[in-house]
Amino acid sequence: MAILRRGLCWAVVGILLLAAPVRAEEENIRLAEQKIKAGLIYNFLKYTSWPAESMATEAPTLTFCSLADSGFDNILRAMQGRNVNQREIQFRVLKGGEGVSTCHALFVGEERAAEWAALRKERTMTGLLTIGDFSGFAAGGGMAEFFYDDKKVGVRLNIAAVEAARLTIEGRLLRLVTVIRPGGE
Amino acid sequence: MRSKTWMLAMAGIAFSSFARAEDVDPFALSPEQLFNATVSSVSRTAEKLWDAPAAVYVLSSEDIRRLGATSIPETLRAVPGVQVARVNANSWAISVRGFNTGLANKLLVLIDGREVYDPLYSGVYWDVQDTMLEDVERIEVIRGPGASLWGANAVNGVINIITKSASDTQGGLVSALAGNKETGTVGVRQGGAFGADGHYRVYGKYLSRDNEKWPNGINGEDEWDAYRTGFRADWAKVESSQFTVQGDAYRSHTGQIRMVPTLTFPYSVPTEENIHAEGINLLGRWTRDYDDGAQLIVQGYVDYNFRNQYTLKTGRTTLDLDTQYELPYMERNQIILGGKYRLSGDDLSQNNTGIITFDEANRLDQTLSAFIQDKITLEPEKWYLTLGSKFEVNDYSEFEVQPNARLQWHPDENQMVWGAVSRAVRVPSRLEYDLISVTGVIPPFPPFLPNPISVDLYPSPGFDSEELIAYEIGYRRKITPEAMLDTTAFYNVYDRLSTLRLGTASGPVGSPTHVILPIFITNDTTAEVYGGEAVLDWHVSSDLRLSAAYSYLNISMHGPPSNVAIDAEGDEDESPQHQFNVQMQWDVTPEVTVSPTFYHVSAAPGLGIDNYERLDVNLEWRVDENVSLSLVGQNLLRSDHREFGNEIGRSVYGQVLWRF
Repeated sequence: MAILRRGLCWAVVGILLLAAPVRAEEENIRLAEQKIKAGLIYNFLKYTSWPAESMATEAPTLTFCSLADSGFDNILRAMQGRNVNQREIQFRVLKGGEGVSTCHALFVGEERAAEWAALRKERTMTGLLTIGDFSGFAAGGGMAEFFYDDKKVGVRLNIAAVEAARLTIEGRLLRLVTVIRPGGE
Repeated sequence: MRSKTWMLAMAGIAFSSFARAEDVDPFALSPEQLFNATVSSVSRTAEKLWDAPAAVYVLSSEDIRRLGATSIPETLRAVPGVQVARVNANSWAISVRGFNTGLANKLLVLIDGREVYDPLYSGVYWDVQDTMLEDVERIEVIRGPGASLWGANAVNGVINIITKSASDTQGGLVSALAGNKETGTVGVRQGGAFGADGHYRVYGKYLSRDNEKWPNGINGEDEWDAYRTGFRADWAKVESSQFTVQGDAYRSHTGQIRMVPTLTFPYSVPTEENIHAEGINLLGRWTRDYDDGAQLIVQGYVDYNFRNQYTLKTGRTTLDLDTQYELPYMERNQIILGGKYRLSGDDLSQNNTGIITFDEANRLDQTLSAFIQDKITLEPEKWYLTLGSKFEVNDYSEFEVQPNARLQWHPDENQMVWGAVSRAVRVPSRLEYDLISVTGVIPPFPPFLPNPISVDLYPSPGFDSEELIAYEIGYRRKITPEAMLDTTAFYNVYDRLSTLRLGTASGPVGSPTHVILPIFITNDTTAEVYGGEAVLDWHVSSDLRLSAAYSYLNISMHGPPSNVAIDAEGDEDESPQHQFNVQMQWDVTPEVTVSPTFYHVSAAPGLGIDNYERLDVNLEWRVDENVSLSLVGQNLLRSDHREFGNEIGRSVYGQVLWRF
């Protein structure tokens, strides 16, 4: 009797133990859309390599700029001071196009799409990682574009734009995005 | 026993591995987890302009600075569909889509959620709304009814003035300006932080402005000086909860020349009037965001204001409580509901001029209102239908229902079409119900009229709400990625508009002997107003932005003839039919910007106003990251012109902005 009961206990424990880690990976995390996007931006900063010339050698910082609205800025601001790849993130809100040359990464919200279009025509984007939140961003020359698909957030990546700016994105992230090649359009 | 403990421990470990959404730090998640996460609520940023099924125009803080305006009414000139007519140095007649008088009563104006509409005079006293423009985040103007979730009186539109959050106004700021008409304005603001994540700001402002001229050239006695101070604090006690407390106090002196009716020659005397106004307000707001996408807002404010004019002194205290709740995220519906309670008490006393008299010196009015709105997704990314209604119970009219329906269609990602039908009402005020006022005296004309006639407005408690049914459509298009076109057209049908109906004359009575001709306010006029607005906004390059706006307005009124009512169809010619403006925002160098704005406003023959052009230019030099200097010229084309009342002159001023 006791052996049976103990066996049962261990069986239950075994099942729970087996079930737990499996559950943890498949577990459904539910998050507000903006938080998911903020997390993804942070991961882009983490898994991108910049050309050596665009990075300062001592106390290097990663300047992340935003051309968006103040609601999202307040969420992105939480990145300020965090470290990725031994560089400290400096978060800046851009007013108009000035100062974009000091940015390593730029996020463009839909409200500022027209300013972005004007800016893109005149500046070469070497060493600048661009992420946008509206349809047409990647096709129009931006790099990563968020889209909303069946309750999950996805990313379309214009790989040609990334290469033209001499940036490299790690395979771990590349596997999760939808690569597009707008050259043919 | 030991095995039991083990089991419990194992169970504990197993259960604790289920993360709870509220506690998750997005920056700690792996990319795989983020791509796999389910969206619990779609982003709620201020509804993107592009997606709004309404005629909306937003002035950003950058736009406000570039326009070089020194007061909120002046910034509104750039907004299509808004008629801004400066009456004199300290007051403006502002309306949306017609019916503009100094007491335009069909417009709802809010500053951070607080109504600044005076129910006694059915209008906004702009001379006491001189917030520091540097602390204004944006001004949203919604033309047409129904787009506001709040209140009767948002008949023709809503002007929503939103100040910057305290975290966006940190550090010190001093703004000083002076010029020929702007005799001196200084504003000082200091912002700081407190606690773990709280921010505050405190400001003080003094303004003074020179007089304008009366049409016959004499001094208009309309100088203006005002003191204002206030604060704002924002903080979050727990995550997802935000608190705001803000308040202002002000004192203002203005003046004007008032034509005072008298029973003796000359029967209308220009009299210099000194106006003294002061007030204080305090507002608190709590916003709670839930992870399932729900949002709850609870707001309350207290507002006391006092005004002493030639005719009477008024003190008013208002208490307003409102709540708004957006239901948790649903795939096909976005539902918001809310309720409001408002208590407003006034205290009137005469100024021995006999122009305005009343029976009750004090009145306490209550209003209870509610709304519900549902945005239904008919086809994701393509078709949406918004249905809503407002309900109101108040002391002046019966139960009011104001429904509206909006349909929007996105044919592709570069175009958007919308249409709307709404009903709105303008509720009567104490002005119509309670006051007796002498509006004018008709001089005697022997032998037909041996005595002067005093035309007196009498209380009209039978006056009903005015009603509007509005039909609107709009089309937006991204012509190129840098240029956007936004067009709207509307057809407004008004019913039960206020009409000044002649009563039966009585007399002669009194000393000096005169006849009394009473007039009553009735609802005997109807009107159809149609028109449209178009805006083209073009980012030519990252240094140059051009925008152009055109508005058209056509008013037809139908009221009783002049032997029965006074000037029933007068509003037809009192609003300009065409308005046009072009704005340029040009960054000549990274430090120097030039922003000229040109306006053309067509005539208002009913008021004797000719058409006029106006050119304003703002030259700004950013000396370094803390100091900038501006030189602004307003009304540069002519030495003066009339917009509504007094001659408005050319104004040039210089401004220093210093941040520390």
